[in-house]
Amino acid sequence: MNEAFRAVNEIESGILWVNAPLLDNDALPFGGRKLSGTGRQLGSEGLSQFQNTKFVMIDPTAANQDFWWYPYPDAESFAAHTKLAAE
Amino acid sequence: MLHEVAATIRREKAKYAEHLTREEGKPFKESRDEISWCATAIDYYAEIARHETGRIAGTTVPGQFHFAIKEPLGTVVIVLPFNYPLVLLCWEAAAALAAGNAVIIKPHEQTSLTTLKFMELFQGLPAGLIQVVTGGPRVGQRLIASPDTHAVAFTGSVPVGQAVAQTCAELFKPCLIEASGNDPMIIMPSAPLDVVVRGAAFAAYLNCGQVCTSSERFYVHEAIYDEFAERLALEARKLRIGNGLDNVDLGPMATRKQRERFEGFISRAVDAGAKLLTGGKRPKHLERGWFVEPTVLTDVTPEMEILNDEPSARWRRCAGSQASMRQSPLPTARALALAQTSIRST
Repeated sequence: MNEAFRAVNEIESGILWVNAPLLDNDALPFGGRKLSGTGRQLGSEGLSQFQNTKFVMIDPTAANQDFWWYPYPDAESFAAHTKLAAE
Repeated sequence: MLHEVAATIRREKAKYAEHLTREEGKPFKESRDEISWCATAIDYYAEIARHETGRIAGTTVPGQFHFAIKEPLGTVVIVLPFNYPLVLLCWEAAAALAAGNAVIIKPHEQTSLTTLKFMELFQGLPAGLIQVVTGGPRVGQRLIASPDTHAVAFTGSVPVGQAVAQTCAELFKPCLIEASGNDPMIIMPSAPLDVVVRGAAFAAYLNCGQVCTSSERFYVHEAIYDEFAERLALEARKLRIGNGLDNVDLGPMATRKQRERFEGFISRAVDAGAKLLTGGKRPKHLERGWFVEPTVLTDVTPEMEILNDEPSARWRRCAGSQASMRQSPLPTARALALAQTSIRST
């Protein structure tokens, strides 16, 4: 097992078989590294290849976001600069 | 609906396995296996696609909802090779369909009839949801570059995969590229040799080596190099070659071009000093068909075309290849080259 885990840790590949060549598992990602390609088939990774992930934010109350939108409150300019301009 | 497709595939397995063997050449047993894997992949994606369709994050603004959803990309183009035309189709199409996409398949010319016939099994799906467009490279290019397609899954050679990725990059179109390999097997004395020899022969010669993950290079610990090579050659000579519908271990290669490529690699390796331990020829008892004997090459050195990493070898890797063994990356190991094959994708 020491040899096996040395191989698992040091070989740069998308797939590594120890005593079990050419097996697949529908639940695990199948694919290559380097010039063998990019992306994965099978597993949840294989599903994500064909999905767009859309990021959504909704404010159901349509509240005014005064902390964030224009106009900015006057008092929040850079204090030192305001002071210099006043002098 | 996908579960029903999978159930139909299981029921009709033998019929479509026969088509696959007749067109691609692989033994009937391998065709049956391939069609079984189609059904399991479809069942798997039919389930996991509904398992999770996004997630809700804790909001950073009181009163708001912040979340991410998974939605389909649109129309997915799937370009396939000849070696596993049905299981690769199902791995990708099942995921794409389960995610809510429509699918257009461009099969390899060599396996177009099997693919078209296989589509009968998808009749239960809404019309047009999965389609096949046959043809050569130009058809694939048009589908990939079209503004009306939204993602690409390509399985094939490295150079073509690079071209597909470039086209997709310009359009920021998501693409999945599966481009074969020049796969090494490392053999250590701690492994039981009986198991190793059978495992190595299977990994090298399955589907005449026309498997993207078949083993082409063997790096063998020097303590067992000679014995391994000898026993692998014996194992290779035991394999039964012939019509895939008969009781055989190996069918023909898929095309004349594949066999010529294989023979080219063998003869150039031998010219460069490799020793042909077994195989390398056309079986005498088979006059018709693209048959070759399973091959083992020894005395293969790192600079040889059959093993090296130059661009030509990359091409060879995906295009056709032999198993070989050679001086290895492990200081105590030697390698040899094994062969029969012509590789392609997955």
